[in-house]
Parts: sequence; C-alpha cells; structure tokens
Amino acid sequence: MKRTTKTVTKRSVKTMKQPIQRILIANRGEIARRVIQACKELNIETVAIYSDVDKYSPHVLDADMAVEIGPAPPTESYLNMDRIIAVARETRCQAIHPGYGFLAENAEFARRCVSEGILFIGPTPEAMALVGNKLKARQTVMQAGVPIIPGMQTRTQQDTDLEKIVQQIGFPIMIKAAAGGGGKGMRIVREFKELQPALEASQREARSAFGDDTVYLEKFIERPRHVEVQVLADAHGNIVHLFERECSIQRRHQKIVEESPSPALDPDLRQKMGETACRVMEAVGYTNAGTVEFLLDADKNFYFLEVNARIQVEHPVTELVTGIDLVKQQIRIAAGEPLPFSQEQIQQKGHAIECRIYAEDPENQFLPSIGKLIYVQEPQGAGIRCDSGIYSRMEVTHHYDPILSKVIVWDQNREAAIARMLHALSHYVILGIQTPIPFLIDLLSHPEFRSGNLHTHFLEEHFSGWKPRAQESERALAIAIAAFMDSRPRKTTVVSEEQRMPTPWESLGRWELLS
Amino acid sequence: MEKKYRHQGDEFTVQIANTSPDQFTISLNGHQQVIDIHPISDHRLSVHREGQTLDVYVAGTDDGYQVFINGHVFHIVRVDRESSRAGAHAQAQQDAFVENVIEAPMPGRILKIFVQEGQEIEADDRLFILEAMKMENEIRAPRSGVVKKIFFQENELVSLGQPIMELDFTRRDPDS
Repeated sequence: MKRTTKTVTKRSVKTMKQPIQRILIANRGEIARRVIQACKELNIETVAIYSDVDKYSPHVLDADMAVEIGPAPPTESYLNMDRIIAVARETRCQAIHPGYGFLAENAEFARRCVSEGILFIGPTPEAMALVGNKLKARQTVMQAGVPIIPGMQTRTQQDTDLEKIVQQIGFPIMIKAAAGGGGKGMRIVREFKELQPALEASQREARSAFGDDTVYLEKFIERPRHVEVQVLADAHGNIVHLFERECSIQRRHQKIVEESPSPALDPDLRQKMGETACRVMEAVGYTNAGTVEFLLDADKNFYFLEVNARIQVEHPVTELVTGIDLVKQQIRIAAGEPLPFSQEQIQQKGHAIECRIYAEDPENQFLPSIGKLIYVQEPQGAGIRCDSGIYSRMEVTHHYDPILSKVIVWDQNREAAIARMLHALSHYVILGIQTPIPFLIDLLSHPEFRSGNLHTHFLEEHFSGWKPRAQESERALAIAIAAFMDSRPRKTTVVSEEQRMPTPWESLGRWELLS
Repeated sequence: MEKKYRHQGDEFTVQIANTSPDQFTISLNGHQQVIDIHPISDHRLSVHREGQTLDVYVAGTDDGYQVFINGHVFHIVRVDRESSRAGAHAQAQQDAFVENVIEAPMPGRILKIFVQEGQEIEADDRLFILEAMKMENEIRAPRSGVVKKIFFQENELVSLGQPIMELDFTRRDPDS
C-alpha cells in the first residue's frame, strides 16, 4: 500500500541526514537484549540503562556501555524520562529504542525525544497519542470503514447514562480502560448487579496503572479468537503487513501462547484482515512497526480492537514465519530508510509458536514467584529460539513485569511445531523459582489445542483448577535422587562451570575509547 | 541408610545402598529398584533406570531438593529425624498452619478486603485483592469456614511472607 501524507514525507527527509551510530535502549530483560542484538548486527553501538538492582542483569552485560539511572522502582528508573533523555545526550546517542512496556507507548516521552533531537524508534508522538486513546482510535478507524465492536464510543459519564447504554449493548459487557493495555482495568460483566463493583475495580486498576481512570463499555463477544496483524510502515508512505498472529491463549487478558499462522484463517480472510490492518495504520498516520489487534468471532467476523504502538512480546513468531527481522526494520525505518520489500515479496512460511515463561506458580493460582534462580539451562536445537533475560544465580525481584523469557519454535506445519515446542519446554531447566512450564506442556498436549479450537476463554474452559499430573514413576525417581544427594559426602563449595556468571569480557561487544 | 521425604503431603521412606560404582539399590516405601546415577556436574545427573536413560537436574533448597525430570519440577522436602520422631502430629499441625494463614506470596498492597473478622465464608469466596507486579491478584477462600483474623487494612503494604488473613476451617466444617 502506498500513501501520500506530506507531513510524514517531510519528516523523513530530515531524519535521513544522520545515520544512527549509537542507540540507547530504554528497557531491561529479554527485549533489551533482543534490541541490542539487532543493533550489533547493524554495526550500531548500544547504551544500556539500569536500575541499581539490575547492575548485573544480562542486558547490561550485552551492551557496549551502561549507565545506572536510579533505584529499583520503575518511576525512579525505567520510567524516569528526564534522566533517560539526559543519559542519551551525555552518551551521544542518536536514537532511543523503548522496547515494550515502560515508556514504549508514552506519547509524552516520544515528544520529548523529538524535541531534544533524538530519534524515537517507534511511531510519531501524534500517531502514538491517537492510538493510545482507545476511544479516539475507534472513532478514527470507524470513519475509515473498519469494523468495530458495538459499544460506547465515548467515555463513561454518569451512572444513569450507563444504565441506558448497557441496555442498548446488551449483556455480556466488557469494561475497558481508555488508556489501557495488557489486560489492566478490564472486566467482564454478565448481569446488572455485577456492573458497579466491576466498574470500581476497573477504574481503580486503570488509575494505578495509567494514571487515568476513564473506562468504556462494549459488547462482549463469547468465545472469540484474538488475531492480530503485524504491520510495518515507513516514512515514505509505504505500508505492508506481515500476516497474523493468533494470541487466543490468555489468562487474565495476558497472552501466554502465540502462533502464526492462525489455524482459523483461510487465505481470503487472511488477505482481508491484512489489508484492513494496513488501512487502520494509514488512517491513524502510523509509521514504524505496529500491530493491529482484532477479535474474530465464531462466524469469522472480525472487529478492530486496538493498535499496539510498539514492538510486541510475540514479535518473534512473525520473524520466524516471514524471515524478516522486525527490530532491524524498526531501526531502519526510524533512520528514514524506505521498506526494502513490497507486500508481494513477503511470504508466510511454515508455522511458529511462542510460549511466554513468566515468574509465576501454576500450582498456586499463578501468583508471582520471585527469588534466586539456582540453575537455568535453556533449550537448544533445530528450530528452537529462546529470547531470555535470565541466567543461573540471578535474583528475580518483584519490581518489574514477571516475564523471564520466551521460547519460540518453527517447523513446517502446526503439528510439527507443537511437537517441537513440547520438546523445547521439556528441556528448559529453571530451578529456584516456579514457572508455568509444566502447565504449558499440558496445555500444548491438550486435544483441543492440538486441533486448533482456540478462543480467549480456552484456559478457563479447559484448565481451571489445573494441577500437575501425578507421574508416579517420575516422582519416585525424584525422591530417589533426593536420597542419592543426601547420601553423598558433603563437599566444600566450589564454583562450578555452569554456576559461573559470564564475565564482562565474554559478553563485551565492539568497544572503543571515548575521546 | 534410611531417610524420610515428603512430596505434596505424601511421605516416603527411602533406603539407599551403593552396590557398585554408580549403582544404587533404592527402596522406596518397600518398593526396590536399581538405579545407575552419575553426577555430570553440580546440578546435572546422568540416570539409567530399567533400560531408560534420563537427563536429571537437581538443586538444593532450604528444606530439600528441586528435581527436574522431563520438564517437571518436583519439590522434595526432607523430613529430618527430630520432626519425624515428634510424629505425624507436628506435621499435621504445620500443614494446618500453612493452610489456615494466607501469607503474602510477594510484596504488594492490599487493595480491597471483601470479608470481616467472624464472617462465614464459602469455598471460592473472594477474600481480598493483592496488587503486586502491577496486577490485581484476587485471593479466594480455599475452603468454607470462618474468617478468624485480618492482619491488614485496605491500602496497606505487605512484605513477602507476612500473614494477611487467618481462616478457621474447623468451626463450620468439622469433617475436614
């Protein structure tokens, strides 16, 4: 798709003048490492930032330079715009990559970067502000002829209004935060008496997560699929989509398993959704990498949900089926380069699946699990990718989002990819804290998952009250191993090969003396 | 050498004898098997059992071991001689304590409390919301009973392991 927006073209001319030599990564964990890898492959130097508890974190080890920016609470470190921009200037970075979360979808931060003459690797502040307001975004795309879910297009006013609106939409109803994302502030209401408490909870959650308690209501679609389309848009008016990802497997509206292609789409629907996604991005004036989320109902009607104005956690599945490095494309687009391919040149090949590994306890209501990682061994082998932010003996703190790593696999078809994921998960050793790996193994083995009958309430329907399957022979062996360990003579502590942390020299990349 | 271990409420008595290099005869609650165990490194063991080979990982914890076998992690708790001599009574008391008192799984803030002291509750009733790691975690009653004590008020901060609520399952549910 080609478009002619004059303002966008003008901006690109300005950004073309300076090639990017150094990028500050305003994030931590696996996504900071992912961005650093892309930078290094493009021969761009990297500056990491870290809070005081993250000094020995993997993203700091990976970067060429690193600067401490404050104490652990995100507001004093990874969300501290003044400090981050000051560090970018001091270290002479031409650009900032925000990753996902933290400041990634903060239009004010993007604006500050632009006014300081620093490239923000993402959409323009204007486009970000537009898609960041869910209500405005819906109005804008509706005018462009994109289907949306029936519901309120305006913010909540008084309770009297609400009653009327509720009657118009009809139960079940979904409450959502206008400034929201990541499931925060979302509630499903099935009858009128649940409405008030749910509204209060949503507003409370929205206020603490986004500082804005505006919520809106919409028709809740039973058993929908979550299907999203990855889009790339350059500053020269070119927009392409990189097909879909299905992310129907969610818990509390947090995605857990993502895959591409979606088992629900046929080529016609795929093309239609891809083109609609491009139309959404054109309508909102979007540049860089972004995602258009849709709900797909049982009759294969799809409805626009929202635009995610960032690189997403689940971007690797698209990378594996298209062969396109999305983070490198983000950097090139920000530098003013045109997209190096047309829509016809992009192909979706094979099948990719991602499983998110959170620090959480599947046997205890999936509550967060924190502490010291005693031992970590990541899965390896043909078609297996592990984007990770952890290592053995690292401390997992409660300060940040609980994502530890992601396992992504590729194979020729869905069945083979599921088998490969099961292999990878059963070889992913994480000792010291709880992880959902045993749960994920059961999930991917479930006949309904295998047959592709997914919807966003899949886990509630098939896995509520999940307990690990009793495997008596493995349990007997585990107890035998404990007895074996206790029967061994106590030895003095020796730092073994795999307990050793990588030294800075091993992970140091390109470096040079700063004059 | 006899040892006692516990896993998810089940107790196991183990006898282990090193019969030849890497060969261990292990009797588990009277059921005997011969296992070939060889440590490859501090956390990794090569295991051969009845013709099956296994890549097993192990880590010591405060009270026992975490053992990783084929993607599953087993938390094996050591039952030491003193406590086992005190008998099942002490264990039952400890279990009851753990179940009755809801402790903070991590630092956070008590956003909302739905119950009052003395209130009767049914299994799965909402007790309180703990905000942690930027998410609201709704804590529900594991069984029916009575709220005995609430240690916090709404909006108060809790740190890891602090008791938040004590429940009494005996008053309403004498069978369990």
